Amino acid sequence: MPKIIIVDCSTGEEIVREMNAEELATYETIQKEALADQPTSEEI
Amino acid sequence: MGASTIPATNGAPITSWVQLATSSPTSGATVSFTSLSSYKQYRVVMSNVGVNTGNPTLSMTLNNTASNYSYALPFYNQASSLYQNVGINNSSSININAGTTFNTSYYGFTSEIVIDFSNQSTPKSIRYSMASSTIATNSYVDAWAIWNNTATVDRIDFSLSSNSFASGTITVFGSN
Repeated sequence: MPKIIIVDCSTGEEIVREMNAEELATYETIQKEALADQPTSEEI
Repeated sequence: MGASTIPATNGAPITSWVQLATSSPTSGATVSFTSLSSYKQYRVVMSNVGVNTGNPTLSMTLNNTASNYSYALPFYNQASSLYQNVGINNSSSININAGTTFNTSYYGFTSEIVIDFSNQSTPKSIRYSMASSTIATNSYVDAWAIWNNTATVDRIDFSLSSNSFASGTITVFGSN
């Protein structure tokens, strides 16, 4: 399970924990799109 | 003539920015700034951010929502001496470092991001820039984005497409 750093801007507290289901769904969606869209060296 | 204040990227005086939180991530695939308290504008400054290995994409999402982002992204990669424009509609996130190298051989990643209309029931306007560098090679991005969502921004996340954060600092400011 990927780790997420949570920074609470109201308290300044920072914790590291595993992603919950909602965070994991977001992460997997953007990860999939990022990997699909990553430019190749030829495009760069 | 009285003293003047220097305008920031979005026109708000620099003196009005309040520092909300700073993180120096050395692990994790995502850094999430939560409990944002309804500022109109947010400014995120990344300094010398690096990853443990590889060359991942760094993406930003708001409110843990993976939809309705659009951005126009001119970038320049000095290694190949090529300049490219990218326009993305209806993306799941905003790509912060598109087309630029972001890995352990680089000195790190420096970026400034301004999010406007954050507490208003309108789409959010975003402007961001970044640079990463070695001695021989440099990459630059200067971009504009929209999050087409009317919710108040209460959370800003930065996620790597692979691997983990290893160094640097990320600081969030708010302004009304």
